[in-house]
Amino acid sequence: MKIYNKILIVALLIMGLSACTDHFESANTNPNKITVGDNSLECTSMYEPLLYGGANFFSYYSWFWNDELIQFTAFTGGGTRQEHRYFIADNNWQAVWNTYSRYASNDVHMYNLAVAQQNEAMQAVALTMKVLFLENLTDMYGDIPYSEAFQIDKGINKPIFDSQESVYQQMCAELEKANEIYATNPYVNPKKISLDGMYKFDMAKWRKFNNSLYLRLLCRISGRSSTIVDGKNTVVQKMQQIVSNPTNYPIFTSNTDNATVKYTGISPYYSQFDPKQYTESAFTSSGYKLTEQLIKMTVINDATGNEVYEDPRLPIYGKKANKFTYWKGTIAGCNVSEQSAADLGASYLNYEVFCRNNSDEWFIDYAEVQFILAEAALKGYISGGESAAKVYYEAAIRASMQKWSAMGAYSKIPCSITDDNISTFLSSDLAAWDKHDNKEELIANQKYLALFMTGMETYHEYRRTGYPTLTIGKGTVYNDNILPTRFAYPNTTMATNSNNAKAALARMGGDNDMKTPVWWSKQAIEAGK
Amino acid sequence: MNLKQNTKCLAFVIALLLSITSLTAQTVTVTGTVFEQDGTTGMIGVNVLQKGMAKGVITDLDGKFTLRVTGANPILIFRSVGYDTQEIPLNGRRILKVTMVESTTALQGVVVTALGISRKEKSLGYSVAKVDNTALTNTVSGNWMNAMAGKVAGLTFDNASTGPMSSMRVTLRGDQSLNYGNNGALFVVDGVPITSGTTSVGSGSNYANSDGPVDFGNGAGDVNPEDVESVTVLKGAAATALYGSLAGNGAIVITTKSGRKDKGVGVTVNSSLTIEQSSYWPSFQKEYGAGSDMGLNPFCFWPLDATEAPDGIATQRNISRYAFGEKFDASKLRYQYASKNWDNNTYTKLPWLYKDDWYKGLFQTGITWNNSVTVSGGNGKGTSARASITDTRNNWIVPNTGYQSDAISLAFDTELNKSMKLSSRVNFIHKGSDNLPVSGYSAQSPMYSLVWGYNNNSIKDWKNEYFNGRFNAENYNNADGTHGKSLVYPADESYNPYRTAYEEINKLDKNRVYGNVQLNIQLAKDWNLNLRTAMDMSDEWRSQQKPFYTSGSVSGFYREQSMRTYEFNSDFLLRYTHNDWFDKRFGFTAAFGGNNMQSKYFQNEVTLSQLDNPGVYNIYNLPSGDKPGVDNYRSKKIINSFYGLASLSWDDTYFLDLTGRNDWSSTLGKSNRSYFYPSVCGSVLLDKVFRFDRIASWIDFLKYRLSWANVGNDTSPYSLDRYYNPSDPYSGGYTMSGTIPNPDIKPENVQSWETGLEGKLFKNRFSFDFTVYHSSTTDQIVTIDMDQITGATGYKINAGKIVNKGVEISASVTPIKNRNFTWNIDMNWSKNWNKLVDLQKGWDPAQPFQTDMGTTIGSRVFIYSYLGQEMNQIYGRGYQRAPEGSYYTDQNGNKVDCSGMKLINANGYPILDTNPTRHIGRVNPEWRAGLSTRLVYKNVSLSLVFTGQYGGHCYSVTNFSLSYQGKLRNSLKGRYDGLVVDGVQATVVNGQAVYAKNTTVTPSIQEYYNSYVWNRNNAEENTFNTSYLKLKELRFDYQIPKSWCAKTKVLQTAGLGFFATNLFCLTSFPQYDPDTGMVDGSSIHRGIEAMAYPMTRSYGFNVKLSF
Repeated sequence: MKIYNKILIVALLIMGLSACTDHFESANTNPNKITVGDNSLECTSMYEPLLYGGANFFSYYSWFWNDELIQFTAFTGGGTRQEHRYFIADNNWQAVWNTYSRYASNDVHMYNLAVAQQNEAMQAVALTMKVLFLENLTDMYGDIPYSEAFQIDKGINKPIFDSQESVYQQMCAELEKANEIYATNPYVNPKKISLDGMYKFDMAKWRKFNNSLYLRLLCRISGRSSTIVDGKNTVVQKMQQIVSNPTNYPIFTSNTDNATVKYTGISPYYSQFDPKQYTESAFTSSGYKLTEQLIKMTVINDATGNEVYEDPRLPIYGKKANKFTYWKGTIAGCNVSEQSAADLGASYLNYEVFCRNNSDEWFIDYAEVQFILAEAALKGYISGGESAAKVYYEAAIRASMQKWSAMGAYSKIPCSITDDNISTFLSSDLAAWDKHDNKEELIANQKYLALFMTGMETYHEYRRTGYPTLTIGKGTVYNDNILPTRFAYPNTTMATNSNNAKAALARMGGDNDMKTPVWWSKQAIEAGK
Repeated sequence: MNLKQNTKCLAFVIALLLSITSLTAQTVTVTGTVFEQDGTTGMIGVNVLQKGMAKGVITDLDGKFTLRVTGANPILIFRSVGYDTQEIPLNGRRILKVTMVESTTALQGVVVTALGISRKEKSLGYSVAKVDNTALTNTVSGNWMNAMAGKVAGLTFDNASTGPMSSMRVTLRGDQSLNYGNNGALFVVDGVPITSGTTSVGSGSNYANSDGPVDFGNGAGDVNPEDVESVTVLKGAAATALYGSLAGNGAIVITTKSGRKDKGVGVTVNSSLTIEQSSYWPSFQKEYGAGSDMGLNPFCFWPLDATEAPDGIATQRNISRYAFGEKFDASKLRYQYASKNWDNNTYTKLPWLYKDDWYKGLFQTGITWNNSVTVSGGNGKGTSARASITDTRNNWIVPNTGYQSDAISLAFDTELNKSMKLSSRVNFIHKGSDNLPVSGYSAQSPMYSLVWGYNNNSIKDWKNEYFNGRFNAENYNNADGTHGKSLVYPADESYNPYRTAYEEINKLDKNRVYGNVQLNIQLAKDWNLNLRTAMDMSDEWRSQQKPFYTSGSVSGFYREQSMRTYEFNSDFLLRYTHNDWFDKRFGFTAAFGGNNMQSKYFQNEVTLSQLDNPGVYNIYNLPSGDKPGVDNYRSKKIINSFYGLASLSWDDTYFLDLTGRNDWSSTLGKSNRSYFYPSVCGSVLLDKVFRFDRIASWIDFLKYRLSWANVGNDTSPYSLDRYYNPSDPYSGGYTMSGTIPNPDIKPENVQSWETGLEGKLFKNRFSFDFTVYHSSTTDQIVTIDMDQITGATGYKINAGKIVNKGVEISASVTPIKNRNFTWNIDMNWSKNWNKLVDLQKGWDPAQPFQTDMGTTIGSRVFIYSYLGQEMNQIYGRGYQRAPEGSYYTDQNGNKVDCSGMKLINANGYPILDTNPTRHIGRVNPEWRAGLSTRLVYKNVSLSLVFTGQYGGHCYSVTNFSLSYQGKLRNSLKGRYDGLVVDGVQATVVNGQAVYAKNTTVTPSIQEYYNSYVWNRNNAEENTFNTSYLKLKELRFDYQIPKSWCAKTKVLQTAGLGFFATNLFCLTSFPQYDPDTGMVDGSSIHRGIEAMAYPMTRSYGFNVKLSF
């Protein structure tokens, strides 16, 4: 029996030893990743994904969502994509909601790290970018959680929804705060400067970006002109304050200030439409075609239908179909019967201009700021009246033309826009100030054209101004022939935070669909909501 | 006495041992021959002994034996496993002829239960099912588990027709966990768990063009059926409680073969050849050709200048992949792809005809060769060994796809001394493939190219284009008409199916070793100790390559993945058995054991999302300046356990089992890592209690059983902390992970009840098993959905409750059994009721829950679960219908009820739902059933296996994609005159809806079918009932008479077999296999068919020779 006893003892010892849980902690320590909460990550480590990823998804959303909703393009090829018919479903609402929220969430975490690490520059940058993402979120959905957002660490898993008015007030406050931090010209670690592919952490430029964004926000809610935005001033007063005090509120003064993200085209710094990933067919010709709407707004035909003049940006935005000598747009929202005739010979997006992996991407530009000022002057929000409005308007168009002219070099048929071209354009029937009675519409229409490939801006602006006047296609049956007024709250939001989301819907006065207008929109204001 | 009856197996072994030494004092010598059931073939290895004596002999090769007997009236006992034991009084005879009868009480025998403990089946308080080796090797298919389908009640296989590897998801008694991936049964080989999961990559849930799923096979599929002795299916938690957390969903316990017990060496060769053919097709329409203008303009592939055209008439291109074109007519001559003579660039018009092979022509006859050699030997003194080598080569039905595998196994058992036995099992498997196809609704699947092909093109056109090098950059179509010499339609997602098959290659090279060494020690009388250590290790290498001009990868793609998994299990089990108390009426076994499990996982992945040189696939072939995508992951997990078992029996009639197990898991926090779960089960043999042998002698056996168990479950490693994700591709950049961990996670809990009645009647001619179960899963560790606006997308908590209830019935009948002819029938039927009782706190019951984000196709059709309802139901769009109480007035002024009729719009088209919120159908069937029958006449046997299910629904991507293009017969009605859709038009008068019978003829029949009826949004039309009845297997065997074999001197037995699978399938499901699903990541989901490969029939032939 001796041998058995030995075996038994040894076996039990082995089992006994391995049965203890001493090594469990080390076994369950993740060797693959850095743990959150131990402050071992420098806040700047979170910046690049926010900047480049952010700019890329803004460009992608422009192309995928904005252009389709707002009739720059229509994806008519095939039955899979039907955004131009407003086929937009829960997973789309979910993805868009999650993307803006995810970026903002990371941004807020970067801010918290920056506070803990006493990095003031990154605090300010984080605030500006947070507003950039959340402005889009609220514009897409209406009321959103803001004051209680991103606080799962504090156990807030059912954040209350703030009214869009309150969201805007809080965003303005964050921009004010950032503006103050930028004013101190906070220290930036020179080793980290190369991380910023937009401004190289030049705080003066960041400050201009911050305040230009502030103007965009104010413009967006200008229909609710009496809203108090910074605790004491109304929207209108604030606008005037910004314009009249460039020292305290510097804004963009030229295209060189633009919030443009520059991609080197060297891995991994590729812009969204990398030609290795997008063929011309995928980017435009087999699906995304220019629309009648865009052509109508950029081309002048004579009585016999011959093209006599075109917006100099059109051959940069798009190109004519092979063997077609004229511009033709397809019908956004066309039904299946109309489709093949509408598609025949339709013009495309300018693949060579957009599909470059070193192409620039931007969040907001000088032209937009000038358009905002033109509208504000016209409406009397800021001083100067109509004559100032005209100056701003023409400066806006000039800035837009100059910006796009630089990109014309990449067109298959390279082109540029000269000052003469711009002057001609400004006196043409398309854009001449004096030839249009409805200046508001003129500004809005030209702003629409200038905002090409600028995030979701034209979609937001259309809902604010009602311009340009769009023809809704017969095939837009998926939202009962109504251009979506917003995206609906996604399933997760409705399921996990239903009381708060329902309260928000009740406040907005509608169902959780794409027909309820958001607070700042023309529709909501006109409906007295 | 008791002992003898109890374990035939043990007796057999003892007899075997005893027979080795011969007896000494004899009075009479008896000789004789023992025959097989057929009465003519001598039967080897039968134990013959005199009753009351300890020693006997074993029959030889020809069934002959010689035995010396003593005593006045000796009785001889004849025993062999699987046969009825016979007691024959000699009555003075010296020569005996005995025919053995196969035992129908074989199932009464011994089954292998949890931890490899062999138990008498009659003593078990829970339901088990056993599948023996012949059932598994009857037919050859990509996955051996196919052979178990329909044979065990409550066992469900999900597959998605994804390719030659054909992964299967195996579940028992319904889905119990909210974590869809955690519902699989545990696979245990020779007492040790092995990794079994599905390991495909990519998702089928989008209309994905970039990363379609590739089925690399599942872990359990690696087991070589040739080496399997038997499979025991332990269904309920009570059966598996000793496996603990791993086996909460039941276990498939596999026992592999050992070497022969008797002295000698045997060699068996088994060779089979299986051919496989796509045999079930969509119902194609053959009347109208490619086109999308309803035949207005003639089809023309080639845009020709007047100078190029033979008739001098310039042409415009008019092509479409839809089949809403001109009516076929041999007298119509059209410029088609084949019109071009590529040698001299001239063109000829060709007759406008349907080409029968346009779709079917791609598929070839698949061939599988399977060869195995087994050497089995024993020295008759307790040492035995078995070695086998199996080689399988498969060429699949899609050209240039298939796999090969080699399995080597070694089993070794020896007695070190009287009380120590050492045994070992080692299995080595190599699986490799030069190409496994992409599946799912992906442009990278060859099915996609077919579905979107032209019905006027012969498959030869595609073949010629590819093999003549004409699918290239120069010919690559652009939608604007530039280039355009390719047959491929000018869209980004169009391919030549041959190029897909020959150049979009997914390779696999996998090596796996699993096995164990165990030492069994008889410590003392009644005390037994088993020590075992086991390892399961696999090393897998995969690559995926995509050439230039692949959808989403215009500049090519290359990915290499290496995965290594290790799982080590070491355990001991100390057993005490004592059956002598209370006049041997009380049986007692107690066991105490412990287990240490360590698993490790390593994965490295390198992805090139573009290539520098076309056609070069290695990780260095990157354009200058580009960086490869890299990813690696490793994890570790430890579970330590102690467990105990007590089995009590009284009078061999009343049985009670108690088990308890405590696990310590490294994945849980300190205060939660230890968890205990018990089980209790009991059974009573009613036939003995009520003495049925006296009052109802036709009842041979009747058992009632009842069990209860509570099982815990842990979670995956690293679930307690939150991490930063390295941000791909910005090196040095980080983002927050979406899931918020919870350090206070408790183990999951599955509580289950089971009760059943089991009986054998009419001398075992009829047997049945009736089981009812109820299981409830609570405290599930789930990542609950969080709104991203909170700062996270998920939060790990303990939540949810799922209840499964079910009934399982199985029965076996032997209507005929005589010397030459036996006919028996086995059948089973099962039904499961599932309910999602609870979800996370505060979940709005009006909102759907997706068990897996992948359970949708293109976000048009969803598999949702709602609180308080059965899980997994299909939601999508359907026809809007007139509400209850609606009516219209006919010409005669009569009110006609039109409630529920389709609403038709002003153009005469039906109106579809705006949102995909209509309930379309249940995914799970009402019930499932299987029936197998076997007829044996002398040397010939015929067996059939039928499987079926009733109810259940599945949305078919194949259906919509072919139908809405007008390629099937279901779009012929109304071409092109239009039709009047049955329904009502509604107008609003004074705020009231007023209905009128629709009389509007559809303006465009193409639009009617394309945008309404067969549109992918119309889930109602594209979802079908999945009831079916299949003749799953047919097998015909011929055993060459032993007398013939004997003449060869070397051959012992020889058998020939012919088999076929899927001979017919009765179903209303229109496209291929109703028993289908889709692959998403490593899950297989039912309810959505995502462009499966065609269902095949296979025919095979095998020869089995033993020497």
